[in-house]
Amino acid sequence: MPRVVPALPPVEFAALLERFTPARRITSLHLHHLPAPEDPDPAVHAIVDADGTIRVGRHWDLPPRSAAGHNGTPDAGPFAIAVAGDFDSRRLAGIQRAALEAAIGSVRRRFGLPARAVVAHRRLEPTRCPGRHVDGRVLAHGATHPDAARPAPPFPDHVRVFHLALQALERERPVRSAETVAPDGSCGAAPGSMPQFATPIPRPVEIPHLSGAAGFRRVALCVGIDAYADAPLAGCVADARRWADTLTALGFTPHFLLDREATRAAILDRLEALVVSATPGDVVVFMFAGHGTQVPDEDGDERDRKDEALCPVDYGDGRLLIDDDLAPVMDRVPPRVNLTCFIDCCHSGTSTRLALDAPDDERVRRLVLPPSVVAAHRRFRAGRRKPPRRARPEVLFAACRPGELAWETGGHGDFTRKATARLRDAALIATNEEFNDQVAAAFGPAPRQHPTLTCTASAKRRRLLAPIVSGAAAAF
Amino acid sequence: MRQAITARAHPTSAGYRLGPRVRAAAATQPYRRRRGDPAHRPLRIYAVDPELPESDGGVATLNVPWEPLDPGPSGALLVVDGFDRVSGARYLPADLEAPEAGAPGGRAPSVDDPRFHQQMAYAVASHVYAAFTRALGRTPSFAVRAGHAGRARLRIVPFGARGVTGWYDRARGEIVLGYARRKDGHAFAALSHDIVAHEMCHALVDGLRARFDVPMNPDVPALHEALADLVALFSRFGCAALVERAFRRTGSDLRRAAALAAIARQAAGSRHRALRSALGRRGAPRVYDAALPPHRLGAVLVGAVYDAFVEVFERKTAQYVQLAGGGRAPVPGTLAAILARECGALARQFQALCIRAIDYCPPADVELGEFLRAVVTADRDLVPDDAWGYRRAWIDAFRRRGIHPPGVAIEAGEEAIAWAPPDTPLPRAETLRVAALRFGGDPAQPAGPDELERQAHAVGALVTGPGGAWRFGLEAPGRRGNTIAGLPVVESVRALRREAPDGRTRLDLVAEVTQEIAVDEGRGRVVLVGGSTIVIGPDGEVRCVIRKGTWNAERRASRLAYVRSRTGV
Repeated sequence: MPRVVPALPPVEFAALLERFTPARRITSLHLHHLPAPEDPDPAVHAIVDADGTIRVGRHWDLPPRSAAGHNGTPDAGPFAIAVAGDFDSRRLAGIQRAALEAAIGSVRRRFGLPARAVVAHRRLEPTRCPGRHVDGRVLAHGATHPDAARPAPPFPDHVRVFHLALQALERERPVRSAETVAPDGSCGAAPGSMPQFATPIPRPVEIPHLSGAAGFRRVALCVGIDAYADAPLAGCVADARRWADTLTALGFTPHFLLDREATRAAILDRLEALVVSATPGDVVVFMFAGHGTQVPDEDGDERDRKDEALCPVDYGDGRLLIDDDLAPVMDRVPPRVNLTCFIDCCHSGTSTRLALDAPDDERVRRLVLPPSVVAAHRRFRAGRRKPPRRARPEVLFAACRPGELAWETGGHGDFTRKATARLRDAALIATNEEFNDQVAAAFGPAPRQHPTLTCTASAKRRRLLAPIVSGAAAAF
Repeated sequence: MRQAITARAHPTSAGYRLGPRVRAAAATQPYRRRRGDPAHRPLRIYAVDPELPESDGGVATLNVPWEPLDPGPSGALLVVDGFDRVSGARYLPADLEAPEAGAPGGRAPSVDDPRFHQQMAYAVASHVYAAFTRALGRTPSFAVRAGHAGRARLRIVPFGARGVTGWYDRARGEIVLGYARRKDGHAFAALSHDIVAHEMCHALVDGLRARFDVPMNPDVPALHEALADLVALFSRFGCAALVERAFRRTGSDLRRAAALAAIARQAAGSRHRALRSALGRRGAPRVYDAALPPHRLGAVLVGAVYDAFVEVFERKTAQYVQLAGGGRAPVPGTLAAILARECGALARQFQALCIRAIDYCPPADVELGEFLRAVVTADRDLVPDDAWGYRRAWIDAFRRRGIHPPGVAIEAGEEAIAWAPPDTPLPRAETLRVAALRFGGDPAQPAGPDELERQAHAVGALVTGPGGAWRFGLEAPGRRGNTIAGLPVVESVRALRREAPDGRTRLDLVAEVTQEIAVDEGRGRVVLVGGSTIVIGPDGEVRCVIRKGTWNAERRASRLAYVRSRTGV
């Protein structure tokens, strides 16, 4: 789904600069002008418009294409800003001048550039660009500007407009290859073959979704089961579709197992197929909405002597999906593949959802398995040995803490509703831990359930649903 | 600003001018419903402010007229701007058409989500606009410059200033709301129902009357503040859960329900204090005193109206309270629900009365006592029989507060207090008969600027015709001694279509004509404004002329003294 990225006021532009780390080392700042603002030139990284707002232009990981021979390399070079208008014939003044000065100050502060690193196009090539009215005082604008004295906004970053541009820049980081190295160009030259970030970016900016932008696969397995024979549910298929819709908007290809398709074997097979076919950089999501329960621990590996189990649609003959079953599949996750699980389990007939790992708590209302199912489960488990587990590669988001009920209202799980509502804003930007905190905060100051995150300490610091390109790729 | 508008008035050769707002009124164009459109858009708000818990009725749902909305929200009348003028940040706009916000009630109430702030500002402002539309029987116009596609839209800036404050800025066509850091976080004017409703009322009154705010006597600013407070107060009484909870807690006596009568609690910086109260704060004056500052003088008027409201409420609910064995707290749930329902319905009526009275006020130099005359006249026009004694309650309450209509003994009763028809019949305005009027599909909406201009010329011809300009509060233009009378200006002509409780529909026209009188004081020039409001019936007959001339020597002297004191002339 395309998104709209509005133009940024100077403070938002400064925030974007602070949060985004270009792959290139920025060594200078080039200043240009765009005589025809209605035809934005993607050769520069940012465009300062007449209304005092700043648009993001070319992706900041790419060199500018604005001054032949001076555009640097894919590894290092200038950051290029253009000011919209013809400043040979009119003065640069008012809010546009203030915004340009603020932008120059922000870029200098961000990249530690001295005043001499700010260069007008006319000093690089035989041109009058950026115009005779863009004087030296503008170029020399330093690290202070009026916005620097403003108080901090009272709201978090993810509700500010720079966040949309930040998401887009993160998602559309170009893959560097031989084909992407374009011929050097100058301001006003015809666009080359260099990949461009949402080019040109009109106002408002339509940013295509991230599918395949970086060449990594994003797949999701969405499991939703309402059609249990003995204890049917109501909102789990809807949950699976909601997750699929949200993930599709983020560039994922969803696969479904709904109701009768969602047998134990089918879930394991499909999940395993997705996991083993993944290659480094891929992101795989496993999402489950259905019954959860606990069964006696048969191999003594659980301190509470109970195994947590997901209930496939065919659980009646004892074919529960316990964490010991999932572990071998999870352990086959190839290196640098991001496997993220979202588990929202339900309890039948009570409008509540039961935590996957609910403890032995008398107050917890859970799906009580009939003795025949428990016996069938024991028979099914007999002789099966639990394989040794290596370090958890997966990131697991669960609907609630042990001892709590996860609730369902209005045909969706509360966890599903709150998590999917924030996923689009948080993906690639927030860390897994931050996302879990955001979802937890959405339940209010006195929540009846506390979403939990289970993963390694390093995975907590990874960006949500971000490709694991290298050890530090997901960090700023 | 005022001089600029006058200078742009459209001159004619017939001894009057047309004000710039005549044609501009057509630029306010609400969305016209189409087949299949929903009737309402339910949107959640804080009933008072975020400090009142949801369990105490702190969250309410307003059903605002549905219209397609762009992110902002941005509709046909209102544009909410998410730019934070304090920090320089811009927040994501509230997209009420997006699936995640499409849940019943829109975005969930949250102090931490600026999109909810934008939603609440839009919801409360739209709700107030709808209340004005219902009360006036037409779509009110904004006095803001038309922008994109010739539409006049009011901008609301929820994060526009430091401090939990708000104001209406006519020059920029916007309502600015602020926020401030407090010990336990931030407080936001946009999350105060009362502040948003108050400022929206200022914007609408400014759109209704061109010269209403010219401060020629101390009552003018006081009436503005009081009207805005009353609209906000009665709007809040529509939040049934909030009112029901108050009745349960304090009993059926509205005079003890201080929380309900409190206005702009959060702006006062404390959960336990209000900026103003309809019950009157301790030590606050309860009786009219022209020397009081505008907000405090306005509070006297608010107190009088609230007294009348309580009196009628008690009259209408006495039987329920009696059946329930008394109204002492704790009130049983069923009785509390009934009282809340009655209270909400009565508040809507009182709110409509206050708004409707604006059409029956003089065009300038209005006094609080004249507001009473306007209320009584407006109510008599629509509801001739006053079975529950609404008008008696208003008159008694104003008398107790020392607010007397000028030139009439308040004890003389409603017959004398209501504006009288002309002493001698005025010529019938044939071209203003309902049959001769053109509407924009609905009598609530004008056909367009040309039709409004035609109607304004007809009014201009009427007031400068053979009937005598003095009967419309006007003087002959020109210099006389040290005074210069300007040309009369037809400021507005508006249709009124209203439903009476008995099902009858009344269709009238209301026009306002003003005139500037400049008095040369040697050291400078003082400008007074006079004129009249003219109510024209469906057959073109002049039913009522509410005039405010400037020739009365005593009044002119007092007005000059007041204006001098403000201008320093």
